[in-house]
Amino acid sequence: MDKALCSLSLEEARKGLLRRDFTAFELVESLLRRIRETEPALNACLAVFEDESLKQARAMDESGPDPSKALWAVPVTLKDVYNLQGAPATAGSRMLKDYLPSYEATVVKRLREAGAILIAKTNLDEFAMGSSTEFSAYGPTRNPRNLAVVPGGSSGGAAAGVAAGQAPGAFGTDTGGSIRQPAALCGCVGLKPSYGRVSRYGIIAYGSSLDQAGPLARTVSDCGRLLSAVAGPDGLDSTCSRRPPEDYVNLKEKAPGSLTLALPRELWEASFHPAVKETLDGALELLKAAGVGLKTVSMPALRYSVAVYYILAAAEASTNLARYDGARYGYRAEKYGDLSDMYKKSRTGGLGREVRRRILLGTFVLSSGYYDAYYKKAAQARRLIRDEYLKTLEEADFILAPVSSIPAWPFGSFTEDPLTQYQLDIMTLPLNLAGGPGLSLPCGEGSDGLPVGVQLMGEPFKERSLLEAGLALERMFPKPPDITRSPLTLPRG
Amino acid sequence: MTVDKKAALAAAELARLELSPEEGGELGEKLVEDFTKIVGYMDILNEIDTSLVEPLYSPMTDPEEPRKDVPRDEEAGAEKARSILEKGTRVSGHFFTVPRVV
Amino acid sequence: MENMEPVIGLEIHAQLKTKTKLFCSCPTEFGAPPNTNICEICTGQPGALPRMNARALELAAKAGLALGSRVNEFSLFSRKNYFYPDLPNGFQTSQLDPPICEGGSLAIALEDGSRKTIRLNRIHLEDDAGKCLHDARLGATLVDLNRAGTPLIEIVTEPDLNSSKEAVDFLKSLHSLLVRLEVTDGRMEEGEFRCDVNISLRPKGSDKLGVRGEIKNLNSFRFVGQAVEYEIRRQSALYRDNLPVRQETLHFDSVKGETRSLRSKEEAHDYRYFPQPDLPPVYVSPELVERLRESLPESREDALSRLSALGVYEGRAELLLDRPGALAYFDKAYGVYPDASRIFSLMEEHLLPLCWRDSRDPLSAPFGPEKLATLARLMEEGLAGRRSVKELFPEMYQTGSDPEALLKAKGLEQISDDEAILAIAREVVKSHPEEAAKYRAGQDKILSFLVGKLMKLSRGRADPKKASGIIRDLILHDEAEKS
Repeated sequence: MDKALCSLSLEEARKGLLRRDFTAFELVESLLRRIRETEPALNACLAVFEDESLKQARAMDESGPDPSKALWAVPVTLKDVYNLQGAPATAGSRMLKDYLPSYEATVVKRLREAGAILIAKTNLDEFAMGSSTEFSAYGPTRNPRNLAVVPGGSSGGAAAGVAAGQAPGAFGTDTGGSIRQPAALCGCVGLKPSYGRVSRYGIIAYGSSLDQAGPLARTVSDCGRLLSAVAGPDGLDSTCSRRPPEDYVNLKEKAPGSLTLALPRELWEASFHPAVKETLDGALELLKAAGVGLKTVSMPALRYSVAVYYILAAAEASTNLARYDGARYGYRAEKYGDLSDMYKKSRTGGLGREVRRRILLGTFVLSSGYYDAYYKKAAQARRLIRDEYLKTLEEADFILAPVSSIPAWPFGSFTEDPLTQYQLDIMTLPLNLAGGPGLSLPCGEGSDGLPVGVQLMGEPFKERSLLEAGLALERMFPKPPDITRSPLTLPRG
Repeated sequence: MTVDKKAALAAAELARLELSPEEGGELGEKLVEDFTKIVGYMDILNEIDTSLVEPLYSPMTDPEEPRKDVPRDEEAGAEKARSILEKGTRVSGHFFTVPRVV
Repeated sequence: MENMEPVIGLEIHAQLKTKTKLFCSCPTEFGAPPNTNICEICTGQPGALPRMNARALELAAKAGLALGSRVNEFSLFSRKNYFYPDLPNGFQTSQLDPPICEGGSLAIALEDGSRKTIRLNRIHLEDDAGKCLHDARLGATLVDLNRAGTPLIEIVTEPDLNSSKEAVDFLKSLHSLLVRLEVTDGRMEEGEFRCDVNISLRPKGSDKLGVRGEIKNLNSFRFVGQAVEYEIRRQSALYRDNLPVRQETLHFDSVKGETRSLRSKEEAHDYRYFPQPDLPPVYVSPELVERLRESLPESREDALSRLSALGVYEGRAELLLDRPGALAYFDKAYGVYPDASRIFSLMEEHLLPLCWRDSRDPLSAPFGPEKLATLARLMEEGLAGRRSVKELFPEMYQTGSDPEALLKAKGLEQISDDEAILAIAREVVKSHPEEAAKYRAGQDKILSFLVGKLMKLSRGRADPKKASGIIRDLILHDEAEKS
C-alpha cells in the first residue's frame, strides 16, 4: 500500500485523502521516503521540509478532510524561486545561498490557503536562465528516465521530481519554455499560463515581461487543479490581469473531431533528431486518425524568436539582477577594495557564468548607441510575432508545435556553446513573447527510450479550453512509462 | 553590426562585472568570443523592416489599477523592517554598511 | 563681461504629500529611526514588485493643471539604471517618455512691475533614493533606506531665467503655489523641495546656448542665489581669460560659498533607460482631470485680492499663502466670526509662529478655527484683553481649550464692568492725589500715567479703553462735587 501512494496522481491522492483511504501523514511519509530514495541519483531538491510537512499532515489528519479546499493535504514542490518564509530562496545561485526572505510569494500564500503541503524546493538553472538545469550552483539534476542525460530546464528539478514520484504536482516558472521543455524531456505535463494569469509577486524575477508561474504534474487535469488554486488577480502584482479566472477543475474533454490545430511550418520543418522526428510523426498520425483537423500554416516572424527573446529577456534580466550587489543581502566577496570593487567582486563571485553572460548581453543591448538597433528593434519584432500568433488563432483552435527538436541530451553537450543552446529554444520562446498559454504533454517515446512532447498553444486567458483540448490529446497519445517506483541508482564509479 | 572587445568590456564595466578566469582571464577571450557570436546572430533582425511597428514591451492585459494611499499595518510593517535589517549582509546598528563612498 | 548674459534653467524636485511611498505602503514620515520604514519593495528584495500610489499621480496631475501643463492620458515609467548604495534596485523608477505632464508656465514679477513668463518643459514622477551617511570612525558608509521610494515630481523649466534674482523669485513662487495646492509640504530643511540649476553664459542678443554647469541639489533659496551668483562670476572669469568652460556637474559648498566640480573626470554615464516592465502605463482619465481641475484652489492673485477686500493688507496677506492650511484656517475662522483683521492679527501674531515652529498644518492644531473665532469675538466684546491673550495663547494652542472658559479659570477675564473699574480707579486716585490734581490743573498727559497705574492694579484685566474714560470722569467729577 505505502509504495503505491507516491505513484498516485494528484487527483487520485486527493480523492483517497477525502475518502480517508489513507492519511495525509501516510501520503507525506511515502513521498518523503521516495525523495530520500531518489535524491542521491536525481539531485532534484534543494531543500526538503520533512519535519514541517509531517507536522502539517498530522494536524490536518486531526482536523479532518476539507473538500472545500482545492488541494487539501496535497503535497507539492516549489521551484526555488518562490519566496516562502523560514527557508532560503536561492534561485539556484551562490548569490542567494543563505538568503532568507522576509515575505511570501502570492502563489505560496494561495497554495497554503488551498490546503497544500509544501514538501520541497526544487533545483533549477541559476535564476531560471538555462534549459538543462546544469547551470545550478548546487549541481545539476539528472533525468529520472535516463540518469546520463539532462532533465531540461530551467524547472528541471520540478519535472524530474514529478516524473520520479517525489510529488504529484510541482510549481515551476516559464520565461522561455522553462516549464514546458523539462516536462517534455522528463515525460510529464506542464502548463504555462497566459502572462498575467498568475501573480509574479514574490517569485525571483528573470524577465519581467516574460516570466509566468505554472504547474507541472503527471496528468492534464492535475495541472488544471493546481492552476485553479493560484490563478487570478493580485493587487500586489500590477501586471497581473484583473480578469476573473475560469473553472479549471470541472473540465469537459473536447471531441477530437471538433478540433482544428495549426502547425507552423517554421517549427515543424526544423531539423530534428531522428528519434524525435519519428515520435512526432507518429503523434501526428494518431491525431489524424482520431479526426483532429491539422492545418499547416506559415508564421514567418517566428524565425526571429530567438534573437528577439534573448535581447528582451537579457535586457530585463540585466536590470532585474542589478539588485544583487552585495550591499544589503546575499553574497558579498570576502576581500575587496572600494565600493566599485565590492560590487564587481561580489557580483562576479556570486553569479554564475551563464547569468553573467546574459547580464552582459542585456547591458549591451540597452546601452547608448545600441538601444535602437537591438532593444527597440526586438520589441518591434515582438509585436509582429504576437500579431501573427493571434491571427493564426483566428483560423484554428490551437497552435500545435514540438517542444524540443532533440531529446534530453548528455551533460555538458552545449555548456561551451551558448548560441547553439539558445537556438534550441526556438520551439518554446514564441509563446512567452506572445503572452499566451501553452500546455506541454508527452506524445510518446523515441527509439532511444526518451520521452518526446508536443505543446498546444491557445488564445490568452483561455486556459480552460486549452486544458479541455489537452485532455483529448492525452487520451490519444501513449502514456509514458510509470517510473514512480523504479529504483533510480547511479552506476558505480 | 560588428561588436568588438571594447564594447564587451564597456558593458562589463556598466554591469559591475569582472572577467574571471572562466571567461578567459583578464583578456576575457572566451567571453568576448561568445559575446561577439551571440550579438552577431542578433543581426538577423536587420532582415525585417519594423519602421512602422509600435514596439511591444509587455503583453500585459487588464492590469491592476494603482493602489490607494493607505499605510501598511504598523506592527506587521515594523516587524518586516526589523527582519529585513536583521538578515542584512553587513549591518551596523540600524544601518546597512558598504565601503566608504568618496 | 557686460556683454554676456546668464541663461538659467531649473530642475525642481518636490516631495509629494502622500502618506505612503510611491510603490509600496511604507510611511513617508520624516525622522523615523533608520531603516524602519522599509519593506521588501523599497529595499529591492528578490521577487518584490512595485505598486503605484494613486494619490501620487493625482498630485502630479494637479500640479500640472495649476501650472497650465498638458496632462497626458497615458505616461510611462522607465528604469534608470546605475549602481549606488542608496539605490536598492540598481535602478531608479522615473518617467522618461512620455511624462505625466508637458508644457505649462509660471509668471514672476520683475522689478519694473511687469511680469515674465517662465515656460516649463515637463513634470514627471519618480522615486527618491535612500540616504548615505559617512562614518569616519568605521571608515564605512551607512545606508538608511527610509527615504528610498518616496514620491517626487521633477519639474523642468525651459532656460528662460536670466539672473539669480529671477531664479530665486521663480522658486519662491513655485514653492508657494505647490504648498498651497497641498501637492507638497515643501519643508526645504527636510529636503522636500530642492533643485538643480543649469547655468551658462552667452553673448547678449544671441539665441545660442553656451556650455553649461549643473549645480546639484540646492535646498534653500539663499543657496540658490549664492550658487548662481558664484557660478556667473566663475564662468565670466573663464570667458574673460579665454579659458574653456567645461560641461560639468557641480556641488555648492554653502560654507565657502563656492561651487566645486563633483566629477573631475568626465565619467561616462549610461543610464540605459527602458520601459519598466513591472508597471502598467500611468492612466489619468478625463474624469480625473475634470475632478482635479474643480478641486484647484483659487489662484494666488484671486486670493490676495479677496483678502484685500476683506481688509487684510496685500503685503501681509502673503503670509496666509506661503504655507499649507493657513488660508483655509483663516477662511474657516472668518466663516464663524467675520472680523477679518482681528482674525488675521491673531493668526499672524500668535497661531502661525507656533504652528511653524512645530512644522504643523494650522488646521491640525488643537486650537481650531472656531476657537480662534471665539477669541476674536471675546476681544471685540471687550471680554479678553491683548495682554491676557498673549499670556494664555500658548496654552490654548497646546491644549485646544475653550478661550472663554480658560480666561475665567485663570481669572484673566477682562474687567469691563463699569462699577468694578470705577472701584479700582478710586483706589488709584486715592493713592496718587498729586497726579490727579495736576490732571485737573490741565496737564492732560498725566492721564496715561494714571491709566497705567489702574491697569497695573487690575493686573492688566481692566478694559483699557473704558479705564481711561472712567478715571478721567472720576477725577473731573470729583472736582465738580467738591466745588
